[in-house]
Amino acid sequence: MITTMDRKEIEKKVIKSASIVLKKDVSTITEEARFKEDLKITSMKVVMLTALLEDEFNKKFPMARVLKNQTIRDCVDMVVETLAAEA
Amino acid sequence: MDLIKSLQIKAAKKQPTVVFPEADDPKILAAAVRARKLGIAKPILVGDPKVIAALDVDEGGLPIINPAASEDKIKEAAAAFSEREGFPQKTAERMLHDPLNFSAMLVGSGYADAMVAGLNHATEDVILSSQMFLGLAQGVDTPSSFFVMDVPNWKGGEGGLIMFADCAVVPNPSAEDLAGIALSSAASAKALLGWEPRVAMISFSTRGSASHPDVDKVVKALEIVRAKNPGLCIDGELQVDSAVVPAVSAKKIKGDNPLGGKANVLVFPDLDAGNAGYKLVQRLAGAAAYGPVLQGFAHPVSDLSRGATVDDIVGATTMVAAQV
Repeated sequence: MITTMDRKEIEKKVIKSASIVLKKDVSTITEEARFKEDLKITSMKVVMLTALLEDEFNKKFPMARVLKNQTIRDCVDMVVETLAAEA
Repeated sequence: MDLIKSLQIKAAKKQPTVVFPEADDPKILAAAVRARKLGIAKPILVGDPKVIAALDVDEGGLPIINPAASEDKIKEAAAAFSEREGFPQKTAERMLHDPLNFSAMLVGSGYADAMVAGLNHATEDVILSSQMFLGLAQGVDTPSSFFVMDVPNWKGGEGGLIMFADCAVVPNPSAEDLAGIALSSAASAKALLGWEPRVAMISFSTRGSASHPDVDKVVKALEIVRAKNPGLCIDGELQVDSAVVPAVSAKKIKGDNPLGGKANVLVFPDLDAGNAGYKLVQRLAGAAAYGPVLQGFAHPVSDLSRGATVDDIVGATTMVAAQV
Protein backbone atom coordinates (compact mmCIF):
# COMPACT_ATOMS: atom_id res chain seq x y z
CA MET A 1 0.00 0.00 0.00
CA ILE A 2 1.23 3.50 -0.85
CA THR A 3 1.52 5.67 2.25
CA THR A 4 1.13 9.47 2.33
CA MET A 5 4.87 9.74 2.73
CA ASP A 6 5.41 7.58 -0.36
CA ARG A 7 3.15 9.83 -2.37
CA LYS A 8 5.04 12.91 -1.19
CA GLU A 9 8.31 11.33 -2.27
CA ILE A 10 6.87 10.42 -5.63
CA GLU A 11 5.58 13.97 -6.07
CA LYS A 12 9.04 15.32 -5.27
CA LYS A 13 10.65 13.05 -7.84
CA VAL A 14 8.07 13.85 -10.52
CA ILE A 15 8.53 17.59 -9.96
CA LYS A 16 12.30 17.19 -10.02
CA SER A 17 12.10 15.25 -13.31
CA ALA A 18 9.78 17.87 -14.81
CA SER A 19 12.13 20.64 -13.68
CA ILE A 20 15.07 18.96 -15.44
CA VAL A 21 13.18 18.44 -18.68
CA LEU A 22 11.53 21.86 -18.70
CA LYS A 23 14.61 23.66 -17.40
CA LYS A 24 12.63 25.28 -14.61
CA ASP A 25 13.39 25.65 -10.91
CA VAL A 26 11.62 23.00 -8.79
CA SER A 27 10.14 25.76 -6.64
CA THR A 28 8.18 27.07 -9.64
CA ILE A 29 6.41 23.74 -10.30
CA THR A 30 3.41 22.84 -8.15
CA GLU A 31 1.22 19.76 -8.14
CA GLU A 32 -1.54 21.84 -9.72
CA ALA A 33 0.62 22.95 -12.63
CA ARG A 34 -0.90 22.07 -16.01
CA PHE A 35 1.55 20.58 -18.48
CA LYS A 36 0.33 22.40 -21.58
CA GLU A 37 -1.07 25.66 -20.30
CA ASP A 38 1.32 26.42 -17.43
CA LEU A 39 4.47 24.47 -18.21
CA LYS A 40 4.24 24.78 -22.03
CA ILE A 41 5.43 21.22 -22.45
CA THR A 42 6.12 20.03 -26.00
CA SER A 43 5.79 16.48 -27.35
CA MET A 44 9.57 16.15 -27.36
CA LYS A 45 9.72 17.12 -23.69
CA VAL A 46 7.00 14.57 -22.89
CA VAL A 47 9.22 11.85 -24.40
CA MET A 48 12.16 13.05 -22.33
CA LEU A 49 10.05 13.27 -19.16
CA THR A 50 8.74 9.73 -19.75
CA ALA A 51 12.28 8.38 -20.12
CA LEU A 52 13.36 10.18 -16.98
CA LEU A 53 10.40 8.88 -14.95
CA GLU A 54 11.10 5.35 -16.20
CA ASP A 55 14.67 5.59 -14.90
CA GLU A 56 13.58 7.28 -11.68
CA PHE A 57 10.98 4.65 -10.77
CA ASN A 58 12.38 1.71 -12.73
CA LYS A 59 9.02 1.16 -14.43
CA LYS A 60 7.68 1.43 -17.97
CA PHE A 61 5.17 4.21 -18.62
CA PRO A 62 3.46 3.94 -22.01
CA MET A 63 3.52 7.26 -23.91
CA ALA A 64 -0.22 7.04 -24.53
CA ARG A 65 -0.77 6.92 -20.75
CA VAL A 66 1.69 9.74 -20.03
CA LEU A 67 0.00 11.95 -22.63
CA LYS A 68 -3.30 11.66 -20.72
CA ASN A 69 -1.82 13.51 -17.75
CA GLN A 70 -3.10 17.08 -17.68
CA THR A 71 -1.30 18.15 -14.52
CA ILE A 72 1.67 17.21 -12.35
CA ARG A 73 -0.88 15.70 -9.94
CA ASP A 74 -2.18 13.41 -12.71
CA CYS A 75 1.38 12.35 -13.38
CA VAL A 76 1.98 11.60 -9.69
CA ASP A 77 -1.27 9.58 -9.63
CA MET A 78 -0.06 7.62 -12.67
CA VAL A 79 3.18 6.71 -10.91
CA VAL A 80 1.39 5.85 -7.65
CA GLU A 81 -1.07 3.60 -9.52
CA THR A 82 1.70 1.91 -11.52
CA LEU A 83 3.79 1.20 -8.44
CA ALA A 84 0.77 0.01 -6.47
CA ALA A 85 -0.35 -2.29 -9.28
CA GLU A 86 3.04 -3.93 -9.50
CA ALA A 87 3.73 -4.02 -5.75
CA MET B 1 10.67 11.97 -67.41
CA ASP B 2 8.71 11.17 -64.26
CA LEU B 3 9.57 12.78 -60.96
CA ILE B 4 11.00 9.70 -59.26
CA LYS B 5 13.22 8.91 -62.26
CA SER B 6 14.68 12.43 -62.27
CA LEU B 7 15.21 12.29 -58.50
CA GLN B 8 16.93 8.91 -58.86
CA ILE B 9 19.38 10.50 -61.28
CA LYS B 10 19.97 13.35 -58.83
CA ALA B 11 20.47 10.95 -55.90
CA ALA B 12 22.80 8.72 -57.93
CA LYS B 13 25.20 11.64 -58.41
CA LYS B 14 25.80 11.84 -54.64
CA GLN B 15 24.86 8.36 -53.42
CA PRO B 16 24.41 9.59 -49.84
CA THR B 17 24.49 7.32 -46.82
CA VAL B 18 20.95 6.48 -45.72
CA VAL B 19 20.26 4.77 -42.42
CA PHE B 20 17.41 2.25 -41.97
CA PRO B 21 16.38 1.73 -38.32
CA GLU B 22 13.74 -0.87 -39.18
CA ALA B 23 16.13 -3.20 -41.01
CA ASP B 24 14.71 -6.21 -39.19
CA ASP B 25 11.65 -5.90 -41.43
CA PRO B 26 12.01 -7.84 -44.70
CA LYS B 27 10.42 -5.03 -46.76
CA ILE B 28 12.93 -2.50 -45.45
CA LEU B 29 15.80 -4.87 -46.09
CA ALA B 30 14.62 -5.60 -49.63
CA ALA B 31 14.22 -1.86 -50.32
CA ALA B 32 17.68 -1.05 -48.94
CA VAL B 33 19.23 -3.75 -51.13
CA ARG B 34 17.39 -2.37 -54.16
CA ALA B 35 18.40 1.22 -53.36
CA ARG B 36 22.03 0.05 -53.34
CA LYS B 37 21.56 -1.81 -56.65
CA LEU B 38 19.96 1.26 -58.24
CA GLY B 39 22.92 3.30 -57.00
CA ILE B 40 20.71 5.93 -55.33
CA ALA B 41 22.13 5.51 -51.82
CA LYS B 42 24.62 3.73 -49.63
CA PRO B 43 22.33 2.09 -47.06
CA ILE B 44 23.31 1.39 -43.46
CA LEU B 45 21.15 -1.18 -41.71
CA VAL B 46 20.53 -0.65 -37.99
CA GLY B 47 19.58 -3.66 -35.89
CA ASP B 48 20.70 -7.00 -34.60
CA PRO B 49 22.81 -8.71 -37.33
CA LYS B 50 21.49 -12.12 -36.28
CA VAL B 51 17.87 -11.02 -36.72
CA ILE B 52 18.65 -9.38 -40.06
CA ALA B 53 20.56 -12.44 -41.28
CA ALA B 54 17.60 -14.65 -40.36
CA LEU B 55 15.29 -12.75 -42.75
CA ASP B 56 14.53 -14.40 -46.03
CA VAL B 57 16.28 -11.62 -47.95
CA ASP B 58 19.89 -11.55 -49.07
CA GLU B 59 21.26 -8.41 -47.40
CA GLY B 60 23.86 -8.15 -50.13
CA GLY B 61 26.74 -7.33 -47.80
CA LEU B 62 25.22 -4.01 -46.67
CA PRO B 63 26.84 -2.64 -43.49
CA ILE B 64 24.93 -3.34 -40.28
CA ILE B 65 25.27 -1.36 -37.05
CA ASN B 66 23.91 -2.91 -33.89
CA PRO B 67 23.04 -0.29 -31.24
CA ALA B 68 23.63 -2.94 -28.55
CA ALA B 69 27.24 -3.23 -29.70
CA SER B 70 27.85 0.50 -30.13
CA GLU B 71 28.45 1.63 -26.57
CA ASP B 72 31.17 4.12 -27.46
CA LYS B 73 29.03 5.87 -30.06
CA ILE B 74 26.07 5.94 -27.67
CA LYS B 75 28.09 7.30 -24.76
CA GLU B 76 29.55 10.05 -26.93
CA ALA B 77 26.16 11.07 -28.35
CA ALA B 78 24.46 10.86 -24.95
CA ALA B 79 27.13 13.12 -23.46
CA ALA B 80 26.53 15.71 -26.18
CA PHE B 81 22.74 15.48 -25.74
CA SER B 82 23.09 15.67 -21.99
CA GLU B 83 25.19 18.81 -22.21
CA ARG B 84 22.84 20.45 -24.72
CA GLU B 85 19.61 19.64 -22.87
CA GLY B 86 20.83 19.53 -19.25
CA PHE B 87 19.52 15.96 -19.22
CA PRO B 88 20.92 12.98 -17.28
CA GLN B 89 23.42 11.16 -19.49
CA LYS B 90 22.40 7.72 -18.25
CA THR B 91 18.80 8.25 -19.37
CA ALA B 92 19.98 9.59 -22.73
CA GLU B 93 22.14 6.47 -23.15
CA ARG B 94 19.14 4.24 -22.51
CA MET B 95 17.05 6.21 -25.02
CA LEU B 96 19.80 5.88 -27.62
CA HIS B 97 19.69 2.08 -27.49
CA ASP B 98 16.36 2.35 -29.30
CA PRO B 99 17.13 1.78 -33.02
CA LEU B 100 15.04 4.78 -34.12
CA ASN B 101 16.76 7.20 -31.73
CA PHE B 102 20.11 5.58 -32.50
CA SER B 103 19.62 6.02 -36.25
CA ALA B 104 18.52 9.64 -35.86
CA MET B 105 21.67 10.17 -33.80
CA LEU B 106 23.83 8.64 -36.55
CA VAL B 107 22.46 11.24 -38.96
CA GLY B 108 22.59 14.07 -36.43
CA SER B 109 26.22 13.34 -35.64
CA GLY B 110 27.20 13.28 -39.30
CA TYR B 111 27.83 9.53 -39.53
CA ALA B 112 25.01 9.21 -42.08
CA ASP B 113 23.26 11.69 -44.38
CA ALA B 114 19.57 10.77 -44.08
CA MET B 115 17.08 8.39 -42.44
CA VAL B 116 14.20 6.31 -43.79
CA ALA B 117 11.76 5.11 -41.10
CA GLY B 118 8.10 4.80 -40.22
CA LEU B 119 7.13 1.36 -41.52
CA ASN B 120 6.83 0.08 -37.96
CA HIS B 121 6.69 3.38 -36.08
CA ALA B 122 4.02 6.08 -35.83
CA THR B 123 4.73 9.36 -37.62
CA GLU B 124 4.97 11.06 -34.24
CA ASP B 125 7.70 8.66 -33.11
CA VAL B 126 9.77 9.35 -36.24
CA ILE B 127 9.31 13.10 -35.79
CA LEU B 128 10.15 13.10 -32.08
CA SER B 129 13.25 10.90 -32.44
CA SER B 130 14.43 13.11 -35.29
CA GLN B 131 13.72 16.28 -33.33
CA MET B 132 15.70 15.02 -30.35
CA PHE B 133 18.68 13.34 -31.95
CA LEU B 134 18.91 14.55 -35.54
CA GLY B 135 17.91 18.15 -34.90
CA LEU B 136 15.82 20.82 -36.58
CA ALA B 137 17.06 23.04 -39.38
CA GLN B 138 18.30 26.45 -38.31
CA GLY B 139 15.44 28.85 -37.64
CA VAL B 140 12.78 26.10 -37.67
CA ASP B 141 10.71 25.45 -34.54
CA THR B 142 8.11 23.09 -35.96
CA PRO B 143 8.75 20.18 -38.33
CA SER B 144 6.16 19.77 -41.07
CA SER B 145 5.64 17.90 -44.33
CA PHE B 146 4.95 18.37 -48.00
CA PHE B 147 3.63 16.52 -51.01
CA VAL B 148 4.77 16.97 -54.58
CA MET B 149 1.69 16.73 -56.78
CA ASP B 150 2.13 15.68 -60.40
CA VAL B 151 -1.05 16.94 -62.04
CA PRO B 152 -1.90 15.45 -65.45
CA ASN B 153 -2.81 17.82 -68.30
CA TRP B 154 -1.89 20.92 -66.31
CA LYS B 155 0.94 23.22 -67.30
CA GLY B 156 0.92 25.45 -64.22
CA GLY B 157 3.11 25.31 -61.15
CA GLU B 158 6.43 23.96 -62.33
CA GLY B 159 5.65 22.07 -65.53
CA GLY B 160 2.58 20.48 -63.99
CA LEU B 161 4.24 19.77 -60.65
CA ILE B 162 3.29 21.68 -57.52
CA MET B 163 4.24 21.39 -53.86
CA PHE B 164 1.57 21.34 -51.13
CA ALA B 165 2.33 21.93 -47.42
CA ASP B 166 1.55 21.03 -44.71
CA CYS B 167 -0.70 18.06 -45.42
CA ALA B 168 0.30 15.60 -42.70
CA VAL B 169 1.91 16.90 -39.53
CA VAL B 170 0.82 20.21 -37.90
CA PRO B 171 -2.94 20.21 -37.13
CA ASN B 172 -3.57 23.80 -36.12
CA PRO B 173 -0.53 25.92 -36.90
CA SER B 174 -0.03 29.33 -35.32
CA ALA B 175 1.12 32.22 -37.51
CA GLU B 176 4.68 31.42 -36.40
CA ASP B 177 4.24 27.73 -37.27
CA LEU B 178 2.78 28.68 -40.65
CA ALA B 179 5.73 30.94 -41.36
CA GLY B 180 8.06 28.07 -40.47
CA ILE B 181 6.16 25.76 -42.82
CA ALA B 182 6.48 28.32 -45.64
CA LEU B 183 10.22 28.76 -45.07
CA SER B 184 10.82 25.00 -44.84
CA SER B 185 8.74 24.38 -47.98
CA ALA B 186 10.68 26.98 -49.95
CA ALA B 187 13.93 25.36 -48.82
CA SER B 188 12.60 21.89 -49.73
CA ALA B 189 11.50 23.03 -53.19
CA LYS B 190 15.00 24.28 -53.82
CA ALA B 191 16.90 21.36 -52.28
CA LEU B 192 14.79 18.50 -53.61
CA LEU B 193 13.51 19.81 -56.91
CA GLY B 194 15.96 22.56 -57.79
CA TRP B 195 13.10 25.02 -58.18
CA GLU B 196 13.20 28.74 -57.56
CA PRO B 197 10.30 28.74 -55.07
CA ARG B 198 7.21 30.88 -55.70
CA VAL B 199 5.20 30.50 -52.52
CA ALA B 200 1.50 31.26 -52.06
CA MET B 201 0.04 31.51 -48.56
CA ILE B 202 -3.41 30.04 -49.11
CA SER B 203 -6.60 31.39 -47.54
CA PHE B 204 -10.30 31.82 -48.35
CA SER B 205 -9.46 35.48 -48.95
CA THR B 206 -7.34 37.20 -51.60
CA ARG B 207 -5.38 40.21 -50.39
CA GLY B 208 -8.01 41.55 -48.01
CA SER B 209 -11.16 40.42 -49.83
CA ALA B 210 -12.40 38.94 -46.54
CA SER B 211 -11.85 39.89 -42.95
CA HIS B 212 -11.49 37.14 -40.33
CA PRO B 213 -9.04 36.05 -37.59
CA ASP B 214 -8.02 33.08 -39.82
CA VAL B 215 -7.07 35.55 -42.56
CA ASP B 216 -5.15 37.65 -40.03
CA LYS B 217 -3.15 34.54 -39.10
CA VAL B 218 -2.06 34.00 -42.70
CA VAL B 219 -1.19 37.69 -43.11
CA LYS B 220 0.88 37.60 -39.92
CA ALA B 221 2.67 34.46 -41.12
CA LEU B 222 3.49 36.22 -44.39
CA GLU B 223 4.97 39.16 -42.50
CA ILE B 224 7.16 36.80 -40.45
CA VAL B 225 8.41 35.04 -43.58
CA ARG B 226 9.19 38.33 -45.32
CA ALA B 227 11.11 39.53 -42.28
CA LYS B 228 13.13 36.30 -42.10
CA ASN B 229 13.71 35.84 -45.82
CA PRO B 230 13.19 39.14 -47.67
CA GLY B 231 14.43 37.67 -50.95
CA LEU B 232 11.83 34.90 -51.12
CA CYS B 233 9.17 35.18 -53.83
CA ILE B 234 6.02 34.85 -51.73
CA ASP B 235 2.56 36.37 -51.61
CA GLY B 236 -0.62 36.10 -49.58
CA GLU B 237 -3.17 35.80 -48.44
CA LEU B 238 -4.42 34.20 -51.64
CA GLN B 239 -7.24 31.91 -52.68
CA VAL B 240 -6.09 28.87 -54.63
CA ASP B 241 -7.27 30.27 -57.98
CA SER B 242 -5.45 33.55 -57.37
CA ALA B 243 -2.34 31.52 -56.64
CA VAL B 244 -2.31 29.18 -59.63
CA VAL B 245 -4.41 30.75 -62.41
CA PRO B 246 -2.70 33.79 -64.02
CA ALA B 247 -5.95 35.23 -65.41
CA VAL B 248 -7.68 35.07 -62.02
CA SER B 249 -4.60 36.47 -60.33
CA ALA B 250 -4.52 39.42 -62.73
CA LYS B 251 -8.20 40.10 -62.18
CA LYS B 252 -8.23 39.84 -58.38
CA ILE B 253 -4.89 41.40 -57.49
CA LYS B 254 -4.31 45.06 -58.08
CA GLY B 255 -0.82 46.47 -57.76
CA ASP B 256 2.21 44.43 -56.76
CA ASN B 257 1.68 40.80 -57.79
CA PRO B 258 4.91 38.83 -57.34
CA LEU B 259 3.42 35.43 -58.18
CA GLY B 260 1.16 36.40 -61.06
CA GLY B 261 -0.84 33.20 -60.58
CA LYS B 262 2.24 31.05 -61.09
CA ALA B 263 2.87 29.72 -57.59
CA ASN B 264 4.75 26.43 -57.41
CA VAL B 265 4.42 26.02 -53.62
CA LEU B 266 1.06 26.26 -51.83
CA VAL B 267 1.12 26.66 -48.05
CA PHE B 268 -2.29 25.78 -46.65
CA PRO B 269 -3.59 27.61 -43.56
CA ASP B 270 -4.07 24.41 -41.55
CA LEU B 271 -3.96 20.64 -41.75
CA ASP B 272 -7.67 20.31 -42.58
CA ALA B 273 -7.20 22.38 -45.72
CA GLY B 274 -3.83 20.85 -46.64
CA ASN B 275 -4.92 17.26 -46.24
CA ALA B 276 -8.25 17.80 -48.02
CA GLY B 277 -6.49 19.78 -50.74
CA TYR B 278 -3.97 17.12 -51.66
CA LYS B 279 -6.57 14.35 -51.58
CA LEU B 280 -8.96 16.33 -53.79
CA VAL B 281 -6.28 16.93 -56.41
CA GLN B 282 -5.16 13.31 -56.16
CA ARG B 283 -8.65 11.80 -56.42
CA LEU B 284 -10.50 14.24 -58.68
CA ALA B 285 -7.68 15.35 -60.98
CA GLY B 286 -5.89 12.00 -61.01
CA ALA B 287 -2.66 13.56 -59.77
CA ALA B 288 0.20 11.47 -58.45
CA ALA B 289 0.93 12.51 -54.86
CA TYR B 290 4.53 12.00 -53.75
CA GLY B 291 4.86 12.22 -49.99
CA PRO B 292 4.39 13.08 -47.28
CA VAL B 293 8.02 14.10 -47.07
CA LEU B 294 9.08 15.44 -43.70
CA GLN B 295 10.80 18.81 -43.66
CA GLY B 296 12.28 21.26 -41.19
CA PHE B 297 14.94 18.88 -39.93
CA ALA B 298 18.65 19.51 -40.11
CA HIS B 299 18.96 16.47 -42.41
CA PRO B 300 16.46 14.62 -44.62
CA VAL B 301 14.09 12.15 -42.95
CA SER B 302 11.30 10.15 -44.52
CA ASP B 303 8.11 9.02 -42.87
CA LEU B 304 6.90 5.79 -44.41
CA SER B 305 3.29 4.76 -44.29
CA ARG B 306 2.69 1.59 -42.23
CA GLY B 307 1.41 -0.10 -45.37
CA ALA B 308 4.32 0.96 -47.58
CA THR B 309 5.44 -1.51 -50.23
CA VAL B 310 9.08 -2.16 -51.18
CA ASP B 311 8.53 0.19 -54.15
CA ASP B 312 7.20 2.91 -51.82
CA ILE B 313 10.23 2.52 -49.55
CA VAL B 314 12.61 2.77 -52.51
CA GLY B 315 10.67 5.90 -53.57
CA ALA B 316 11.02 7.41 -50.09
CA THR B 317 14.72 6.56 -50.08
CA THR B 318 15.05 8.35 -53.41
CA MET B 319 13.27 11.42 -52.01
CA VAL B 320 15.57 11.72 -48.99
CA ALA B 321 18.70 10.87 -50.97
CA ALA B 322 17.88 13.56 -53.54
CA GLN B 323 17.65 16.16 -50.76
CA VAL B 324 21.16 15.59 -49.46
